[in-house]
Amino acid sequence: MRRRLLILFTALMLALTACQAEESPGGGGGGPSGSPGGSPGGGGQIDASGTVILSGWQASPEEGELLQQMFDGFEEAYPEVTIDYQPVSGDYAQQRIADFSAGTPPDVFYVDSSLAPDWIEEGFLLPLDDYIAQTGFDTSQFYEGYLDAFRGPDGMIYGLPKDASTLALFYNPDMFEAANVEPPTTWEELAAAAEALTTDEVAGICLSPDLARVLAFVYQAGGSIYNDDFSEVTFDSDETREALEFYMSFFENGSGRSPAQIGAGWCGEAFDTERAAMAIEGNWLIPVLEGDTGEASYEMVELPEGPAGRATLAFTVSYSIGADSANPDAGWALLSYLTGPEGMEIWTSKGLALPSRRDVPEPEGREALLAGAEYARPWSFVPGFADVVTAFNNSISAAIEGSATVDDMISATTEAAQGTLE
Amino acid sequence: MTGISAGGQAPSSLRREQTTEALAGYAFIAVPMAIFLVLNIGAIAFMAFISVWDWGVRAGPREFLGVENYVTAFEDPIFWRAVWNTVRYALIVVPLQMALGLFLAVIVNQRIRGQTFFRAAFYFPAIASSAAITVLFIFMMSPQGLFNDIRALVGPLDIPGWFGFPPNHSWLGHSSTALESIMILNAWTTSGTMMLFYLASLQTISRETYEAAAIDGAGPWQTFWRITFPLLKPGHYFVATVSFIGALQVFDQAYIAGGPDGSPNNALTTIVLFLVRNTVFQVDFGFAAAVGVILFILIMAVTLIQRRLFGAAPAWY
Repeated sequence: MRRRLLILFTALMLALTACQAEESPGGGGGGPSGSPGGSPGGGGQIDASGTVILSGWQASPEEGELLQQMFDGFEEAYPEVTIDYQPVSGDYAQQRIADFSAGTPPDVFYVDSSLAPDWIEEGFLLPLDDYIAQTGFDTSQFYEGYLDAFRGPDGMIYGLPKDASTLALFYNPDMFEAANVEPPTTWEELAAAAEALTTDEVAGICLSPDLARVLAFVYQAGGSIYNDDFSEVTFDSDETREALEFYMSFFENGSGRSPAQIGAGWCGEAFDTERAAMAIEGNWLIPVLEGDTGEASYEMVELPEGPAGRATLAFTVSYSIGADSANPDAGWALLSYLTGPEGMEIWTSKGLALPSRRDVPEPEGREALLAGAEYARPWSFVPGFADVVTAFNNSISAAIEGSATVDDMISATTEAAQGTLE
Repeated sequence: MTGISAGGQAPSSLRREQTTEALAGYAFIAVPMAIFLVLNIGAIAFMAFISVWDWGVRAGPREFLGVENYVTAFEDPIFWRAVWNTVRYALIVVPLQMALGLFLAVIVNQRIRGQTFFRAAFYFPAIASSAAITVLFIFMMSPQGLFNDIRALVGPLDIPGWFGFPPNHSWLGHSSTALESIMILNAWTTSGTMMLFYLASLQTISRETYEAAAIDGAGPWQTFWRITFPLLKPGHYFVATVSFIGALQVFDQAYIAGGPDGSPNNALTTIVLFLVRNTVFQVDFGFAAAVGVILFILIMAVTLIQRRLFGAAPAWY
């Protein structure tokens, strides 16, 4: 009996594996499977019909309203296509990985720039170049730092940024006035301002033990993690060392504190509850500050200039089409509308998100964040980069506790980065 | 479970009827058994299969690697950190849970007024969502949280202060106390479940044994250590096994408090967190499956050792 079960079971497993192998004919190269019709010059439209499944995460009810407005606009332009919107409320990456492994991704969905290299490498995403060429879609209006986040090692484009944000320095003008401090524009001024603003209750600046913030300082000092074509790890340099020592100096003299030291979940919360006079965050912080919890007043400036000039990081999310999409033509119709000037103007109209294109009107009061877009570098590197983030974040949290040094941070991060290139 | 199997040899006249009965029995369990085989056993076997491949999530098997994924894991210091964190966690949490569970069970087993209320109250943490409890716990253990406030209130009786923890210590934000805080949290939330198991086990000890002990002049202390505790042996086995399996799979509280990085300084990187990190964020199914197999073997080994220590499983297990 037991043996028979075992045989049955092995057969079942083999059958499962066989289906798995059949479904995926070697990687995600090639162009769109269906040949997209429509005249190349004819207004950029494509012949599409049927249902298109759209998925992403939804941050607020306001976002849902804006989406609905975009859907209305889209269905006017493409009356043959119906949108089936299926937002994910739980862990987004987990849900997508499950879909990809089952071969049933949505047609159009969000891709976070930090995960894009892994997802491109695994062949989850459809390259959009053929569609872009055939419909004459103008990608030159996208800020390069945003678009590059979704470019594969083959140079193809695997997603178009739906919106984006850079990092800026948020500061509390009331506290600045009380301490008689001007908004800092250089590293020296930043350090001096943080010291002047620090009290027992208030940290001069809230600093996250997170590579997604610290890397901006590394860039400002002229350092980097990889060289430009991602063939070499360049983290171990005097520039990196200078940046990390500068970052750690805030913790050493107490003018900078981590969210854990402040007792906040993240720096945005510390700033919102007036326990930090400055914080380095992006557009996502603004709805929090406008919300009901804290009463902090706020202003923004570009990140202060480092020894090698200005630098900031670009965080962006794309709309991409699944390689196994059931209706990629309708997917492209929707994607090109949502990331085109018309759709993006609706999406960014309330300032909940910032445009990733230059030809969309800028929302009010976001000048510092938008100014950074011109020189921002994407938060998107190589497949497996999550390991580098983990290594860095764990070593900097140890350094803040005093159980690691700047050299430890550099060696741990370099080792992890080398692992991603092997 | 014991009721299903009819023991002994049946007379031949009854054989036919018995076969029909057996078939009916199999028919009843066929559907759940099939689901169990495919979803549980099947998934585990498939994981073992994946673990020897470079496995593309969409592409399927790419390259046969043999034991390479296992070697990579064994050479990864973070993996060993995860194993150490998990084992240390289990070695502290399991005895804590057992002691707390037994203590609560003995208390609510007394004939006291409001017995039902206390049983429900002690079990309450087990029915609340662990995510919600963890979020509240993070607030309580923050530098300006309730726990540090209480320490300030009790002044010289502030026990953590004796060991040099500053008054505004960030319990979950510091690598020396993050995992320990989660240990305390989990020992508390699961003690109600352990109490329930012990309670069931306590009911199996007959009144006569206690009466005999009372006649022999045993006091309450002696009765507990000489009668209750040894007679609970099957219960100990069951509770220890369940508790160990749960502890070795610790994930959600660590993930909510420390995120996918397991920060600060990998203090909250447990085996399952490490596995999830490699599945969802690194998209490395083969490697993650290898980690899963190692965890499976670890749990199996611990369970077998416990079986040796405690003897056979109780009948109701």
